[in-house]
Amino acid sequence: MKLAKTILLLFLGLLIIPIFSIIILSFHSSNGNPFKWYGVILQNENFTTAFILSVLISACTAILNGSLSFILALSWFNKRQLFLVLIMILILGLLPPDILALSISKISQFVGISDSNLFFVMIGLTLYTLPFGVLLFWSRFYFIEAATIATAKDIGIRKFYIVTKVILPLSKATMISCLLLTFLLAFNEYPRTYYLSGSYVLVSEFLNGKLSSGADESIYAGGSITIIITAFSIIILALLSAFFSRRRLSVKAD
Amino acid sequence: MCLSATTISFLISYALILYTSKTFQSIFFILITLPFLANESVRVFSWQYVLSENGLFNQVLSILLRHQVTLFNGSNSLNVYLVMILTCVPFGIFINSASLQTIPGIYWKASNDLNINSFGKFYKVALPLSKFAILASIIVIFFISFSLSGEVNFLGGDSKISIRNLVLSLMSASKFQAIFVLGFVTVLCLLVLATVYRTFNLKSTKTLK
Repeated sequence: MKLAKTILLLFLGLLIIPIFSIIILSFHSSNGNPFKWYGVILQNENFTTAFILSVLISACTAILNGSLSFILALSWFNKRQLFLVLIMILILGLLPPDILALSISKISQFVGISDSNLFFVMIGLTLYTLPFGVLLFWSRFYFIEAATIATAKDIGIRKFYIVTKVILPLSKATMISCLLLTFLLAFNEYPRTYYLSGSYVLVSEFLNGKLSSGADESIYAGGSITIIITAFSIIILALLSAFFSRRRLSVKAD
Repeated sequence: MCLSATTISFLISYALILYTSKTFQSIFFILITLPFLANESVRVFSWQYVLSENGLFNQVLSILLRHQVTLFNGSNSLNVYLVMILTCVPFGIFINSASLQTIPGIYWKASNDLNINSFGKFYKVALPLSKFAILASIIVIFFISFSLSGEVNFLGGDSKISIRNLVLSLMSASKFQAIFVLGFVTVLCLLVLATVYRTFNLKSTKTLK
């Protein structure tokens, strides 16, 4: 048991240590001020513009994806639709992002609205995050007892109201998790933004460009900001999930 | 690559589900999502930093082996291989852990009553009951590793054969049809695999019934 735990902790360390090495690097400075590079990056207008734009795009993507994922995930209650949606999320999740993004870019040119780059970035990011959202809702629907839906049908509730009055309230916590997860995925996504953003620069593109060209150390601070946001959001997600599952248990006990 | 990543992920899932508490499992699952959710460029750059010739990994190995080690460097493909495995393994862990968690507790209890050791439990209970999850993780990991480009571009040294470089080179040659043919073939492969998987799964469910 101890050996198993040690191996698991070693593996965890192997995964996590590199990410945190960037945070440590961001505090290195010659003049002794550990926050020097944070000051420099936050005064960089290109970074702040890209950051704000990324936050806005990711928030819009999260809202769009939250609703779309919920609607598609309802296929859980219909075997035929379930297989179709499964195929769809497999394709969206496993097709190389470069090919998918290029296809969207070609479609935007074909319909003649290639100037609306940010709209297509949002479409690309929604297609990217959709599989995660659907899988998250399915993992919740798995625990909704069939008897609950059957009872609602028996007492004559229409399908629309079963969705809005039974399934949706039961999936409140999952919806919040989906919004948060989608926001993070969209905020940190690089390939789709690279192909679809056109003249706009989003934060992942900004970081990729600077990191590959070997700019000054302020870029480590930029990278660290995204890691801290991600880590903080994951903690919120975990706390929310723990809170809702505890509440569910207490409701069951009552 | 996908076979080694699947093997590692299954072994880790087995250790995680059988030998750790629920709290440890939850924390483990939360922490392994962090690198996956982090920005691709930052993640890959951090790997480049720790896997450089004077990086953390070589330094740790040098201390442990008490002589200068330069195993990880940009000139061999070991860096790419290691990072691709570590990027894909969490996906396999999620799939395999979900499968192992659904094995009824009675199986583990029965194997304890029969005095079957850990290896026996792994070989006679976990492995046969998780064959579909293992197959699913092989497929998922194969396609994910096929799509990984940042890792190859940053860490690949001279051999930068990634899907992104291929797409970009075809784009610069205006061979868009070739890119879409590649996409179409990938979709077709996915459809065939999903259909085969579903057929086998349905057959096995019927047999069980």
